[in-house]
Amino acid sequence: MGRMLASKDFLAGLMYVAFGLTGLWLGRSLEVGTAAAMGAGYFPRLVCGALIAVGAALALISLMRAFALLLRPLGLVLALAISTVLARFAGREIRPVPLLLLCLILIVANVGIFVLALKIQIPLWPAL
Amino acid sequence: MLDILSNIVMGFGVALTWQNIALCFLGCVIGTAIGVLPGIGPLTTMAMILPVTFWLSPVGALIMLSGVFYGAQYGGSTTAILVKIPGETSSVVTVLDGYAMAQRGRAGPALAIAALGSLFAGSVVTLLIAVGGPPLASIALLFQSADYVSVMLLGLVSAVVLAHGSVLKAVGMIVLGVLFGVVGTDVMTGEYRLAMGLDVLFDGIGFVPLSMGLFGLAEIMVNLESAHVTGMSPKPVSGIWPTLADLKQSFPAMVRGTVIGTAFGILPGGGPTIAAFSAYSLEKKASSTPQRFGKGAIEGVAAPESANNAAAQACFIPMLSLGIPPNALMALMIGAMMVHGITPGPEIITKQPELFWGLIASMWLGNLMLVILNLPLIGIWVRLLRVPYGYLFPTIVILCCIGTYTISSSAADVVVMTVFGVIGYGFRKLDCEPAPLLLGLVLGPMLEENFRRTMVLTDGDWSIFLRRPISLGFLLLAAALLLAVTLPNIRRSREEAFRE
Repeated sequence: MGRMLASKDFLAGLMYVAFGLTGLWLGRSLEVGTAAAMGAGYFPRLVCGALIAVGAALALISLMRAFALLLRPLGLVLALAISTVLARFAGREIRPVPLLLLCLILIVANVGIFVLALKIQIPLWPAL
Repeated sequence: MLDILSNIVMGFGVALTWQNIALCFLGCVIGTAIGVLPGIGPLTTMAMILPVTFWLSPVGALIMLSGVFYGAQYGGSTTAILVKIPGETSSVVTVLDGYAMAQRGRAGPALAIAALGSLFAGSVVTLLIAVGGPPLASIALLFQSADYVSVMLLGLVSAVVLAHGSVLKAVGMIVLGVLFGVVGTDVMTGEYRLAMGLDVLFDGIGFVPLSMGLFGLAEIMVNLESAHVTGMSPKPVSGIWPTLADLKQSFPAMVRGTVIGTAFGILPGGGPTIAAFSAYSLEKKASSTPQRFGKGAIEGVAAPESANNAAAQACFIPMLSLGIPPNALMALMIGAMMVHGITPGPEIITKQPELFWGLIASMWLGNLMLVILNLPLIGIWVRLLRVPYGYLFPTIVILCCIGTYTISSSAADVVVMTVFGVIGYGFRKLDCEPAPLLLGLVLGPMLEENFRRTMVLTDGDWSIFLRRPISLGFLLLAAALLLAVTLPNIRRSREEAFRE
């Protein structure tokens, strides 16, 4: 249930960002003007910016929540791998091989820094 | 005082014309019917009958629409008590004690107390609007554009704070509504904005096609997915009248419920549902015998039922005196007013007194009609539950299409409605409550106009919002609300309030 909600939040965030970007694109030729003499494009751009910010925040938070949900049962390594793959959908498409590499680098770096160097108590592997 | 009296007399003069009585009655009947039926709310219904009201006089249109709104509050409790199905979300808490009473053979008194509590709350708040509306409007006349910007921001912020579920999602829906409001001709420069070169969007996204799509079509699509309970036949109700002890027990609960309901109704973003929840939990806390609650305590019916009706009517106060809708339903009313060429705002009371006072008088009249409609005719309303949804849904879809088409005989409007039906379905799938969007849509253009006017007047100086005391006050209030919702323990109690 919790994971379901997290992905719904993520999609909703993407939807807001998409609406905001569409608004910016459709209004790209509208004049912005200055605060004292606003053009037709001033307010729409303000609103689109706000919408994109809200959407991005929503998507980011849901990703973080997904990570936290995965961490307990699956351990750090699998949680990192899954969130990296999920996060890929948020940005530009990455091909499978670089994605795998990115996963490995992130896992090695995180395990190295947080678990080995800083000695923070994080489960590494799925709790059996 | 004499002034108010003569105004009320004038109001009854308007409300008591045969035409307006008929419209009020029609609104109440429709409201009760959709109140009884789960899955169809007042927002959907008001959106659907919006085009019909364009053929009426402005007063008649508002009288009928408000009848639907508060009628739904009465109808929703009937099924909550008799068959444990709350017809409206505002009646969800009534199920707890109302159904428990019905199981012990006391359905009659529960229904009577629900209706009487609603009547009591309705009468008190009607009086409050009559007394409080005009002075509030005269204060609002002092507002300058900067103050309006701040009060609208406050409205939007508290709509978020009191919204169901995720705060960020609600913010997004409001901002999206504001963005939809931008579409169309810019009033100041005459340029087309975000219209994609479509003729139908040059005057902006139509209010009726949008609300019909989002709340009519989309609602049906979602309802089609979930199986509905039909063929319910509750036990016949015998002995409606409550005992003297019942009345004595529930009267203080009605008073408390009315006070809470009024407060939540006036508050932007509030409304009947949250009012009913709060009234119930307060009643439980205030009671010396809290263990009786949930097992058929009559106060558990009286308090939320008074509160939801009080809130349903109290939200007319900011709408009529400031021209600012506190929730989506009132945004719809404002939309209806604007279609009739009435500019919402504090001038309405002085410039169109027959509208203001006529509406108030009709509300009281409508409340009286509802008690008569609901108590003796309860058997008929309950039978509505046996109507198979299979017949109901196609009818609603057809009504939506015809209604949208008739406004300006434009097939393009029907297409716009369909598009918003699909968008609305997507919103519901992602758990995005579409009601705040309507608020943003109505407030957005007002916000932009006042914002631009302020900036022109001050030559682009943003600090004006902090230098005007009225504006600063509203902004501080908004900031405090935002801060409050992020505090952990307040957030927890907010979540608790919504969970029950």
